[in-house]
Amino acid sequence: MNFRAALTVCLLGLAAAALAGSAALVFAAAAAILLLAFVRYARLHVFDGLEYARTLSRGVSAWGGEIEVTTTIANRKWLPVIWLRVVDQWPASVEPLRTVMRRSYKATYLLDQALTVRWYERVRRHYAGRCAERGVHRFGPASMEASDPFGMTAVVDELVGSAQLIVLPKVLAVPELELLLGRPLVGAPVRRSLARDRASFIGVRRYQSGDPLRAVNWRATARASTLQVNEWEPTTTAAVKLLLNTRVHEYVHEGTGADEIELLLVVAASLTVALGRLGWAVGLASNAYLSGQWGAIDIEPSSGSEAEILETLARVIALPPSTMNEVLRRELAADAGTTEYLVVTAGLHGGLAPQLARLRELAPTHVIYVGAVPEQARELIDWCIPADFDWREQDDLPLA
Amino acid sequence: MTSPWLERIALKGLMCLLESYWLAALATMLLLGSLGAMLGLTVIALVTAAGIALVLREGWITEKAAQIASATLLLVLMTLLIVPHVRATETALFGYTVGAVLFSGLVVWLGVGAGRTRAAPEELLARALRVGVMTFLVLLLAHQLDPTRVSAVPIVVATLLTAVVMLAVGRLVAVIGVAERRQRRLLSFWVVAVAVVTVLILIAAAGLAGTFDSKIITAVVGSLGAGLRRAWDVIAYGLAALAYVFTRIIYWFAQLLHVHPPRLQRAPGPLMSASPRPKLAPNTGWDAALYRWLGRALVVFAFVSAALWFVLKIVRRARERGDEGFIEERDYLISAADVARAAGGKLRAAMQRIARLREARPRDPNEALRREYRALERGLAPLGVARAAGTTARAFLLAAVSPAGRTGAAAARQVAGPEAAPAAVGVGGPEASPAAVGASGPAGALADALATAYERARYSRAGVDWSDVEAFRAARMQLLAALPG
Repeated sequence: MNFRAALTVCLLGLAAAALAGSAALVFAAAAAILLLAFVRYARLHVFDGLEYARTLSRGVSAWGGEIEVTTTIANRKWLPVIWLRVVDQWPASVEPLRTVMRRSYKATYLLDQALTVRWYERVRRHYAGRCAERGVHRFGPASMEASDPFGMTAVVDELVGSAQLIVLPKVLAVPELELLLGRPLVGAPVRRSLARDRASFIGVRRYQSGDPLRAVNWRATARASTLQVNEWEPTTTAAVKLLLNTRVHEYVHEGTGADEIELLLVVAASLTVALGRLGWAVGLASNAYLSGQWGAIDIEPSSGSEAEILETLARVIALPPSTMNEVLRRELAADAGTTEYLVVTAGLHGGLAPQLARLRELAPTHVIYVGAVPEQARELIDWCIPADFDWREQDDLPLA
Repeated sequence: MTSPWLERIALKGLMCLLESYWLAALATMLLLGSLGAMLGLTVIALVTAAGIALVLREGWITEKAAQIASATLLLVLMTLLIVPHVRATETALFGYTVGAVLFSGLVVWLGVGAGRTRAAPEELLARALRVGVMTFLVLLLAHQLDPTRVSAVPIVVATLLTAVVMLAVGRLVAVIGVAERRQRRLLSFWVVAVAVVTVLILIAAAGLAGTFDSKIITAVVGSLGAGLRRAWDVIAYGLAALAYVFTRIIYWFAQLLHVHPPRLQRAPGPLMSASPRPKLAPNTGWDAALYRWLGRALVVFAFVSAALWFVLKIVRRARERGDEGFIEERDYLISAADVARAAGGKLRAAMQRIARLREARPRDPNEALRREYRALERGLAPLGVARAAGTTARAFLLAAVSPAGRTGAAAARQVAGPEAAPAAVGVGGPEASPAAVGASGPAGALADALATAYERARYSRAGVDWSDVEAFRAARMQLLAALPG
């Protein structure tokens, strides 16, 4: 709406009415001018003191977990905002719960809120969503649209801020982990040193059969009414490094293999958590690309590194990376020490097989292959996971 | 669009209604019918034409059927306009027939346009602006041709109200249509806000229009006074009724406790009968029509708003039976106590400002003259003269204007240094005269007149008036200008 033109017309009308001596038309022109003035004032000041904020209940969520998104709109002025529309971008990978949202052309949901905000009022709305896809997801940017009560003209304010949510890969149970490592049952405790570093106190836990009596924490026992023992870091920790190859196809034109990459990430995440629970120091090296980060993925095995690895896996983007050769070359050149390797891959192309064979000679190495195992490389593969494994519906990782 | 009935029926109806006002005024002016009849005929024709276009757009009828229906409507409308005129006048004027045909065509064309138009807020605004301009031009033309033919006030008010409601409903439909279906909490506040702002704008516009016509100010004040008197009557009757009930209850309790309060005696005399109400001549000007139509329009608007609010509330309840899908919390950033504190602070500041203003501008001329005298003393201070304790104003002024008095003061200041206070002067007593202190010439006469005026303000029972204050001020300026230095 061109206010200047409209005002000019109204003023001309006022002059004409005054010249004609028609007070009724003067009244009409005056009402139109006042209406325009009000609309203009409301349009100019409608966003004064108006704030919009969006907060997430957590920044990192497990796959399938629920999050709460809170939008806050505050109007810090006396002029009420009679109608306000806030359209916020909601990532498509977070399914909205108990509410219906339409899709935008950007393949995101649109959180469309229409409301009124009175003088000095704050409106908070809590929405729930389920994290259905791994990755780094962004809420926002948002846009606010408001105007005068009559809605003659709308004013739009673009809000550039966004909130980030990291959804970790789905973690499955790995029942055959001990078998995978080749040290079933009794062998597992051996992976950790029996000697404990008394300077590295971790905490207390419930007494288990076989715990030394001198480890009992009598104060904690008195508080909990059950036997509690101290736990310290072992002086030495067995380490395993996951080598994750996300290059699914030999050639880029064959596709990205997004589904296979997701399965590879689920396998890697499940192994990380399972190994970490057993007390292994876990590391990760991969040729994958990360969202918002450039450079090779190389996390050295250390105790408690599972969270970092899972977050790294969450950041992986499904793009075909370069071959795994550089990663393997680096590992072959490094002094592995007591570190074992667990290779997770969906292909052995690009000269990967000979390097794996060399790695096997240098350090204990296990290869988990996702998909149909090629005949010529059968002797290199220890375990196999079918490519059509429906990890979204299953809770255990099958190792065949 | 989630509210097709609201869009198609309410908005199309409002569009037709908006177009009908200026068309009816045009018909009344050109075809010499009554405004009410023309308005009814135009609304029916517009709605019918819009309905034909709407059903065609929905695909319920073919284009040919729509054309036949439109042509039939055109013929019926022309017949309804021409036949009664021919019967009444027994002549078929060429000009009238051409006007009727053109008018019928215009009505059908605009009705079909209203039915075809997408009810987007931007298009509604463009339509409202166009209709506003057309209404204004038609009314201006009507006023120039025959001011008594078309009553402009109801058309103006109705056009404004309809346009505002149409725009608001159009935006409402647009917002709710794209937002979540259940987010309808804004409706009630929106309706109230639109109604309040519209009423305020109309009242302010009426006030502005009143400045172009002196009669209207009287009319406004009179109508406001009448309204306030009626309102006060209602409040007073209500309070009296409550007081009666309360008194009866107290009496009943008192009787229960065996207490016999004294009976109230009826007041004799003139209090028993009310003084006769003065009879006012009825206002028959255009302003009276304006306020009459404004009042009617406001009542109609209030009813329409209330009806709309109820309908929308029912619709909202019907659609909000399920969970809203989100939890909403509303709170205020400032409390009522904060508002009261802020308002109290502002009120206090305003009162203090008013008090200062009252202090600065005395309403009593005697006080004003005494302030003028104090200003004179302050004006004389830079010349080195100050009034000594126990010295009368007359003696001080005469001494101040006499060369001897000023010389003595200057000498005293020279001895004490430039930073010293002005030397106190004053000779003689209440009987001091210009001759006694050696003050002569115009300065002496001025000092004498100033002293006389001051004494009148200070000691005389009659005091002074505002003209004396003005004269004192002028004399003070003259005296200060006449004195050297």
